[in-house]
Amino acid sequence: MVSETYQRPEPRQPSRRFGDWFRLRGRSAGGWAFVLHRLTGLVLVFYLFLHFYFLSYLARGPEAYAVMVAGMKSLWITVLEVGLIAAVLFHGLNGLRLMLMSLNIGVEQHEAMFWGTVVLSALLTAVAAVLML
Amino acid sequence: MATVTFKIYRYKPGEIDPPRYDTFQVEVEDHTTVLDVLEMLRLDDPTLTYRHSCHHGSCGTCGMLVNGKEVLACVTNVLALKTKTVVVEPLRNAPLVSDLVVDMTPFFEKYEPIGMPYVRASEYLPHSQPPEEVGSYMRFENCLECALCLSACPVVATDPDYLGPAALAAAARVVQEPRGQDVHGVLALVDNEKGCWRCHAAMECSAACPNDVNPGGMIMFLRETLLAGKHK
Amino acid sequence: MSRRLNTWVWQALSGLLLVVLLAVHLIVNHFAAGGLLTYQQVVAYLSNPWVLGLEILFLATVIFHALAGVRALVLDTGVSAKTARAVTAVLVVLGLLLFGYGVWLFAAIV
Repeated sequence: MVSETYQRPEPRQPSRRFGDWFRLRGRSAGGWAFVLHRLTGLVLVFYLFLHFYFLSYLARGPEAYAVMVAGMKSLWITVLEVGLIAAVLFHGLNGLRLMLMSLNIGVEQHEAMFWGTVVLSALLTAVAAVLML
Repeated sequence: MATVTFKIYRYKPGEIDPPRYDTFQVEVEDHTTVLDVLEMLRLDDPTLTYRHSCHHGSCGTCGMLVNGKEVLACVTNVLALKTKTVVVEPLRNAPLVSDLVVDMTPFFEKYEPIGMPYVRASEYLPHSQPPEEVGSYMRFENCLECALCLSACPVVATDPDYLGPAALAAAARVVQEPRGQDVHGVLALVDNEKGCWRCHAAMECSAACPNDVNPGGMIMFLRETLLAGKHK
Repeated sequence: MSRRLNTWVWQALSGLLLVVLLAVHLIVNHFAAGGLLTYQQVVAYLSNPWVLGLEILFLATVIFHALAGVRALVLDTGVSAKTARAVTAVLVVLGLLLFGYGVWLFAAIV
């Protein structure tokens, strides 16, 4: 019999901090796919805004645009561009994987598809890097 | 026989608050499970709180994190973990009552309205002839209601309104085997941004599930069902 | 939420379209025949109406996909329905502004 004066303490609510999706410990392959898809997506959104800014140079005339393009020719910018290609490739290929899964196609093999996506992204990034560097 | 260090998460509202980890040196045998260790520790520290019932992986009561992974403690062999230190913590994404015990109310608030029947047609014994009085064999549904899937899910981690893998898997089962339940009603419950469309296919739920519910696969099945418009 | 064509489905469809449009965009701009490096090359490329049409389609699709993705991320944090509607409204306005800016930019150089 619980005494009428007993006050059961409130349970401690879970943290629900926004960063909780970013947990790295104890992740399965599909969890890695989700984290990478979100991270590459954020990189690409950021790049999109950056790209719109650089394209504004087109409206400032041929000379201004040429100066801006020349400024992009440094090595570390090219390295960043390779990173961007990697992000685009992973996000796009994993996106295709997600579409297939949502049609209930290949769900049993989703881990193998993830590793395939990683390998294919790496290969195509290497090809792009060779072409660009 | 080996000595393993255990770090157990402790929390008692108003007493062990904020939470801390208590460390114990425990001698384990080849067959010792994490639950066995908790039972041993409790003899010395009777305030150690955890849930347990069947001790053979079929009731879903002893769900907790062991070395950061969702498991049923009763079937988790300590030496098979192959770590010198074993960290034991309560499940994620659920309100914490005490030590390793979480409040399962939010789990059931989402799970029960789905109304999944507890039994399903049995695929076992396909060639055996049931006795005359028995029409066909049934068995219990796979889901143990252990909430390991909700602990593992990255969306449940940040959104308290997401229906979650267990409820969605239950909905999928109603669609697959209605047993007199309202399939349209259940599909309406999941066909929204807090239902099957919120999932990001991390499949952590299926990785964590100890009893082949495959909630992630079930969510993909729900998506396929809704996209194909099969139940108009 | 409408039966078949909800935001998630549009996100998936736009993604599928982007796989094609982005591949074309990247190859033409950076890899095929040295890419488009000068102002004059960009103008010449966009003078073809089919190309311009495709680029405008690409612009709309990528803006939608990016902002819908950001919206999904915000919704994941468990905001209230009211906040969710407000976020959606802000993103729609942002998307329209970005699209307008892109079309203005095309008009300025073609």
